[in-house]
Amino acid sequence: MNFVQPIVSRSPSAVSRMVFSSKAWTAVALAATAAICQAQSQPVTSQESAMIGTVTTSTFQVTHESVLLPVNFDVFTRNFKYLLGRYDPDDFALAAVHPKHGMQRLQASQGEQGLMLFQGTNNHGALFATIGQSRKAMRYYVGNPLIALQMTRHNISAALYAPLSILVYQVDENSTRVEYIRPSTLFGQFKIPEIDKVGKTLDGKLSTLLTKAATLKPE
Amino acid sequence: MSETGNGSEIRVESRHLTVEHISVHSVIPYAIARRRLESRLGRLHDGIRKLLAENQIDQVRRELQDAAGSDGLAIHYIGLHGDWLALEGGRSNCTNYLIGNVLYAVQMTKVDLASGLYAPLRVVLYEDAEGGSTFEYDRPSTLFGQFGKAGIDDIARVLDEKLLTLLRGVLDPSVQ
Repeated sequence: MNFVQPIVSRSPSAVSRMVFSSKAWTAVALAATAAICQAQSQPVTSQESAMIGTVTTSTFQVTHESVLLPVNFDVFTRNFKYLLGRYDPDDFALAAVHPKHGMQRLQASQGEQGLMLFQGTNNHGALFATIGQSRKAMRYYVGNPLIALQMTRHNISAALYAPLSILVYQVDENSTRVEYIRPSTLFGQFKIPEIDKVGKTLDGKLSTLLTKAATLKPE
Repeated sequence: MSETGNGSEIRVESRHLTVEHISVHSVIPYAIARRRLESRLGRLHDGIRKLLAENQIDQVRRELQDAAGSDGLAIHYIGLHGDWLALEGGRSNCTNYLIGNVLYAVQMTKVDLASGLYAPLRVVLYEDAEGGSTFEYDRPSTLFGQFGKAGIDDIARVLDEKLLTLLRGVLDPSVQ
């Protein structure tokens, strides 16, 4: 681990701030994930009777990752989209009728780390025009139906978090920030080993994807 | 810009936060719940995105307000999760939604752009084992609260109220 900078606290949440070399990042994220999942996901459930239906609440802890990358926003987003496959709902529709061919199409649509870019990208930067400002910021949806299935088959509620949300925005000409919730901490709330395993795998896939998109050199 | 990146290293900052997860359940059948939700809310449609690209800001604001309707929320995206289970020989009734209000989102992202990770909101609807319907989502104020900014917290509390009111209304068995 290439630890460079000390801890900084930030209200109201507990904050830990660390600097890693890109090579060390994946290994560190995976190790930290295992510890956090064990220690932090402590659901507390209460139930409120309501005239209309029933409202149940529980709490769990997640880790919000904020990653500063030394790369231009346009270069990073171009690489990010280049590395990812594309989710095409038609591939799924085909799979439902012709499973073999549909699965082949879905598998061929996988990109770096088996991940795909979904429709619905939110251009947060463009919306700044409504208040007379200009920023570069995109929220992307990244995942893989075949990976999601490995979780939703055990608990359909996991569908709330798949595909994953990733926010990318420009800091300055030479740096870009990426924000996301560490997948294993979202899926860890279900306390199902099979889902936990997929969540931890997604942690590694995501950090590898971001590192590659930040460091990919033109051919 | 509020910060300047420097150096060639990747810097990772991790914040740990407690999130409140909410489930709203009723005996209303899934198909009815889905129809009610999707007919009640407007859509963030491509026409709005086109107007934005053309910089027709006043028209964009009008369209966004119309899309948000009386609930103050619009559907941005619909994902058919349940159909994916057909790949395993099964199928279940499960749909996830991105629901939000762009005008609220901008009010939060202008305070802290990182809040855009949580806007629009994620909501999942599925048919439960008893044949009723359940919505699940994470309470907006517990997601947005991590930024510690009053301008974001105020809107997040409005979203808490609007979303719960909407989903309870959709699942109200007394409504025909």
